[in-house]
Amino acid sequence: MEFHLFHLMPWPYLPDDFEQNNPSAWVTYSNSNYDPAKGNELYNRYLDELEYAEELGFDGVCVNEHHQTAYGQMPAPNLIAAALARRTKRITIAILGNAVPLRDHPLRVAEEVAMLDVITGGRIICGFVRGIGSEYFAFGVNPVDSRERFLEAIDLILKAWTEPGPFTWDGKHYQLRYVNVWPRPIQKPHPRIFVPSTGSVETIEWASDHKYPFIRVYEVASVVKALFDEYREAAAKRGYEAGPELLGWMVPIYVAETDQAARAEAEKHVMYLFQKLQHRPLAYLSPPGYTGEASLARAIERMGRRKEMPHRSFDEMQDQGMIIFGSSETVRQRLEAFQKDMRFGILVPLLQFGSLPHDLTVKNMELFARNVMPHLRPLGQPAAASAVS
Amino acid sequence: MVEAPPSEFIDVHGVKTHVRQRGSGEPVLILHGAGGAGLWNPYYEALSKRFHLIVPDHPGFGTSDRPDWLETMDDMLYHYIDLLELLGIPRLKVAGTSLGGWMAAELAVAHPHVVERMVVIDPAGLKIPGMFLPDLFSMTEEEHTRIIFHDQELATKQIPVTPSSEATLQRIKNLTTFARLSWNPYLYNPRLLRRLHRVKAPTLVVWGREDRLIPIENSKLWLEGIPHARLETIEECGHVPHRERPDELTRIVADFLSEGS
Repeated sequence: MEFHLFHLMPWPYLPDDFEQNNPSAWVTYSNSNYDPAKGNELYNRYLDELEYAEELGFDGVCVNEHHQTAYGQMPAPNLIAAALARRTKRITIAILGNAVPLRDHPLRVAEEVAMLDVITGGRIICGFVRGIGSEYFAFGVNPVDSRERFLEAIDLILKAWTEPGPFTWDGKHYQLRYVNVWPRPIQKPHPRIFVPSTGSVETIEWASDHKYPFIRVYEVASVVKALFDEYREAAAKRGYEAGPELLGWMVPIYVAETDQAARAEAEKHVMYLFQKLQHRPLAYLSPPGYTGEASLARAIERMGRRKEMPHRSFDEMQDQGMIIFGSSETVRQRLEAFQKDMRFGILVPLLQFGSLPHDLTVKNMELFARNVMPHLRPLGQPAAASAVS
Repeated sequence: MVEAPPSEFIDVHGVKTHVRQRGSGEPVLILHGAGGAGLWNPYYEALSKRFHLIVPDHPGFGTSDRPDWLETMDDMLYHYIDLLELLGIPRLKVAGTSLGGWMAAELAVAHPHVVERMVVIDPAGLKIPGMFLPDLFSMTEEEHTRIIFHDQELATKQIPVTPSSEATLQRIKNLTTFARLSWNPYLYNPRLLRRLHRVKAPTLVVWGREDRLIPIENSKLWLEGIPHARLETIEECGHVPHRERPDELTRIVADFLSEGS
């Protein structure tokens, strides 16, 4: 099992009655509510937490990209990765991911990730995402073009990394006379790719085409398992077995001395994530054209379920595996059971969430690293690399 | 409700295009808004008593195909030029609402010889710089309906309690094509104003006084861009006069289109 500590860098200062008085924590929540002095403290605190993961023995840390939102303070994930690059020595830095369709210039992503890979001596994991629906409201990029731009930008970036330049690119969305990216990445043939996704049919098919690990962000465990099954089926159709090394689960986890203490210490902070930071109009999740036709029917069904998400109780989320809270023993047992059922080999624990303060975050990280991680380490070993005949 | 004319599906260079036609006399092309042509309504029926009314679904709306190549307003205009050629109508009168009003103006700019007279009703296409227009793409169906109506009691009657999945898919289809054309810039073309001098057709601008989606203040841009145009205002009416004040709209449109005949 690989362990990649995830951080969303949330804004923890939304008022108690936030969701009653504001339509959204995304896109339209005024940045007049952003206090740069508090932001300065937060960035430094959150970076300290990510850096501490190395000392605790995690395999990697993860950063990500969201725009115009209290949900996360990382509109430019490559900048956070750069801040971590020279303060860490061993762990991987996963950018989950760069939202390539939002960029006018994919080569900027190719350049920045290559720079990071060279600076870190090859410790970069490159995640590619489309960006969730609300990013298309924030950035004005047409969601109808999202998937085409996503696929073309990645093709362009990978070619820029792996084939000698200069070459000419005549795509539908990008046309370039000279593609000749300096520097080139140090990992060969290119940095490891992760595909964090909500799991659209199209993305799972595409990720399985390329054997890119699929990382599902927090969701009811049975849904995540169904998506992992889809990936495994898609892989089988393509003639190979998708082992645990291709399947990752990002899940909020809180470890305390007892089950009761876990809930008492962290319930309100995780509810802040689901009730306040996730607060937004439904339409922000799926702007027109964003969802492919193959996924549309499923999305319509899922929207009904989404409606309930902010209203889901702590107990429901615990029962459904949306979050995993408890004593070291409880968390260990639950993760072992989920792993046995879901067969993932990449765990992406979210150990700071919502308004969880620094001291509790550090305690959570330490308990997880000391009491949970070593027990799970032997699970989820890669499948034999033989092709299915 | 009057019975609708039969559906025709015209193959416009590979694009199956749904068209309804009724009436005789001079041809009038109706260009619908982002919500689609909708059901055959009293406005269409009344106009069809005086004109040969042609009501197509734009490509990507209603039951017309959405071709992969449809990306921009230009593509839409070429489709309409092709359709009119197939119908054997080289020149006609055009009335468009909202997105359809914008399309009518683009048609009259790009192909002035095709448009004989033009009515644009609560048109998109122009926007006072810096003005925030309510974001239809961020709205629920109910919010969408409420914002385009002035009379909220009437709006309430239009909101389906539980839309069928077919209706939801149809709504998504319309919204997707609408987004293709108008996600950003939203509801306008920054180049249109400077091109409007090319409009030769006598033009009437009609606006619901209480339009909250595209406020009537924007009408001044139309009158600035098309100096020979005039404005008719419908009081106590929002963004969709054909649904909220069909009788008054019919009178205004029919009278104007009959002028000069």
